[in-house]
Amino acid sequence: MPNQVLALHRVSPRCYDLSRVRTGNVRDQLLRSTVIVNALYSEGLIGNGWPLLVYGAGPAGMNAAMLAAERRIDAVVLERTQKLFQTIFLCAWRRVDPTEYDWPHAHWLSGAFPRSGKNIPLSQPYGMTAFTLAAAWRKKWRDFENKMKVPDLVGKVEVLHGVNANNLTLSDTGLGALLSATGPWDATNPARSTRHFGAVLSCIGYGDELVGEEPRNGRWNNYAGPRFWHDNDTVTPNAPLPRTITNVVISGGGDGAMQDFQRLASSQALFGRELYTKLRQLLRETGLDALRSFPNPDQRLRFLSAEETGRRAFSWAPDRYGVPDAMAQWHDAFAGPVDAAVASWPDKVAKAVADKLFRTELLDSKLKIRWVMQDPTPGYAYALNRFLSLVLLALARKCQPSLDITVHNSSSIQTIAPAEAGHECVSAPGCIGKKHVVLIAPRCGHGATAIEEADLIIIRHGLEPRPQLLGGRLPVPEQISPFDLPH
Amino acid sequence: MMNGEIACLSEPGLVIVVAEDDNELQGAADILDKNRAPGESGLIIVSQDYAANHPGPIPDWLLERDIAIQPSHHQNLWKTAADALADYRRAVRFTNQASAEGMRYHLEDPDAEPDDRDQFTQARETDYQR
Repeated sequence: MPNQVLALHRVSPRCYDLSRVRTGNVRDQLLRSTVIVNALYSEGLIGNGWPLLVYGAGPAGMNAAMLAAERRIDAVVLERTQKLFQTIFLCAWRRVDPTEYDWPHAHWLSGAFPRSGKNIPLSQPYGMTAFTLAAAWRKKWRDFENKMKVPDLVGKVEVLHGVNANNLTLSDTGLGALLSATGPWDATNPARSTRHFGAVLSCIGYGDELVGEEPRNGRWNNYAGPRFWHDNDTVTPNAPLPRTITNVVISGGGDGAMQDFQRLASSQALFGRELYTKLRQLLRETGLDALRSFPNPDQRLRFLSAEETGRRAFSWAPDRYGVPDAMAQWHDAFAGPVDAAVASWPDKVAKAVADKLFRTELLDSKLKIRWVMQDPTPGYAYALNRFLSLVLLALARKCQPSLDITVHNSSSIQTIAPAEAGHECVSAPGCIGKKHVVLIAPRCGHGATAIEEADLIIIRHGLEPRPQLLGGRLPVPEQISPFDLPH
Repeated sequence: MMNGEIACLSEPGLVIVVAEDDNELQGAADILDKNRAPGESGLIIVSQDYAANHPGPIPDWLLERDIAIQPSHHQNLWKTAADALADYRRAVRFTNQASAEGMRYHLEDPDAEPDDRDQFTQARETDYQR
């Protein structure tokens, strides 16, 4: 029977693509790279003198290479940049938290991931800045380099910076055992040579973010918003917003949009587990049973059930008729209990919670948030992001008109134009804090809304599929839960 | 505030310095480089004004020196630095432990159920169960 982990990630003989199967979060990349390397080893594809070739020196690629080397299997890592873990290393203004992906599963705070009835400990058991995680991984790599100096302790990991995997030609050796890779192996020398490997694993990531107009027809005047990892959007934890940020537009219905909505709406720019912890603390302080227990076990069970159904509908039949309905049912299973619960809270109590949960600028009517999504409900998202976004929206509705938050569902941004004389949208950073006119139009075509002075426009429209280095089948369009990894 | 060696926090693999305003960035980067070994990570905690004045990616000159920046409320710069260092210590411990434990789980001891969580996580669990 073929190894199911390898079958799921295989694109051609001895070629495996971790980036082809989403999810995109750091934790799941680490888990996938671990189980793939273990499977390659147990199936005899690497080892016995057959090294591993890895594309990409991010967390997944370096984890795979070091795991292989721990078994005394040599590995070669190709990295197009000059640094390791560069993307997340440079992002010290955004936190990543592996526990938030699994809420409300019972293990969500345990710092471990259950698989085959056992717990795999997570290398990052709680939230921290992306930078911190990358710095710890760099430390691990430095320690590993020292290990490699001890004879016969571990295999050799060779990281080749600046070498482009696109320039390699992969071919079967004809012997049915090894893969040959021919190309330039030195960034400064175009001479081609051939190396042999037992397998190749691509960990290059999921493609460029969609933060601008798609399709590009000029109606956005070249506007592109801040990128999730790469751009400081000026929303700083535990600090007020810059005075130039007063009118925010967020476009998108997935996790990125939900996380940024939470960061902008909440005090201290909290999101995910930290915001949940604060919410629970505030609800406990009310002393009311209905609030102290929210969300109660029945509600969490309902969320969990909807989560499993929705994920599978989206994962296994993303393009088929009926998925939008499944998405709506998924969302409604959360929205129903949340809206009913918040609506039942006494007004004074709800206001007291809102006063501590929301950002001061929002409470003082110095900040407006407009959230645009193309469907009637948000789409695929982790349960905790959905739950927290819904709580914030329900509380805002209950406390209106003091909180100026509006959701434009079944709508999209039609036009973006600079509102300040002399400003041109030539770069995303240059547009932050500058006034723009944003026209939001509902799908039905009636009743467009013009936002006259939008000074932070965040576009979270997912990822543009990256051409796969290893070819093979089409990528799975959206996320498959790691719970679906074969056992 | 910048007085050479004292104005940085460090742990093997990481050096953190603080810059109270944009003008101090260059000096902070110099102190950082002076205090780190080749290959060690570097972080500058900058006042929130930096975030407002410099939206977008890290500037090229910091990128070339392999230094990350973290904005913070100007009253909490050193607390943010201390928190970052504490987070890093925990991350290093877990990064090493998890890999070793994960390997053991997969390779040698399928019955192993590691349950060594730090106080932070345990406190959050208690909070959740309460």
